[in-house]
Amino acid sequence: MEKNNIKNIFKKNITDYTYIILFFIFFSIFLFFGIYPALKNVFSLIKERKELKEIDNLYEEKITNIYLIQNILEENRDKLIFVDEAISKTPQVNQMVNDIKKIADKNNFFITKASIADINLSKSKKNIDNINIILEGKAYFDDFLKFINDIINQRRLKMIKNLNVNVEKNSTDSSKLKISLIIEGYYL
Amino acid sequence: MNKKEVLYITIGIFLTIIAWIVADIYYINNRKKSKIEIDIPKIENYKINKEVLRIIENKK
Repeated sequence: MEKNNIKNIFKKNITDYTYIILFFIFFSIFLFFGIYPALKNVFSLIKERKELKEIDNLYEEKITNIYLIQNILEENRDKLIFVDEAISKTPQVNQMVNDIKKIADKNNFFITKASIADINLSKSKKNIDNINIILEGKAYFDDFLKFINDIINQRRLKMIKNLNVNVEKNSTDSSKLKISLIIEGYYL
Repeated sequence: MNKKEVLYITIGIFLTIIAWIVADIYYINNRKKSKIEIDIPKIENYKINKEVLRIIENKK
């Protein structure tokens, strides 16, 4: 009897780990093959949803921009052709020369020499390109003023970049002025 | 190998799996690019100055 009691006392002290080991093994397998893929999917989908929402907002902003631009274009449709005429898409040098010749003839500006400075025909990264037309001629002061006013009033944008006015030697008060100027035109 | 050692090994495996899952979820949340790649159109903000249009219109 005493011997049995002693055996029981020793037996109680030995813990049985079998169930807890089995629990960890099965739970680990369940975690890895059951919960892990599902959790991964859930978090991936949440992330994708967040990104798609951002893209959706961005597209909404772009669509609003397009709508606003469309409205502006609709409002000014009739006038936009004037912008094309003011700054043409191609150099259109002949048109520019014709414009200048027309007002030169009109205002008695006698052109003795005209040349066109280098035009960049390759597609440049600049927003706007320019053409320079170098003119030399003779005119009376009043006529030349009218010529300049007419240049300013032409729809095709031009700028007088450089202007030299000389009086010829031995000239009288009424003699013509010797004028050289560089006119800059623009195209896109 | 007694049962206590086996228990430690299983606890180790269990904790490794938990750490793996946490690390993977952290990676998913913090990765920069997802598979969604869309070319967003570039639209600049254009402004039309009506005064300029009026001036150009009045020129010949």
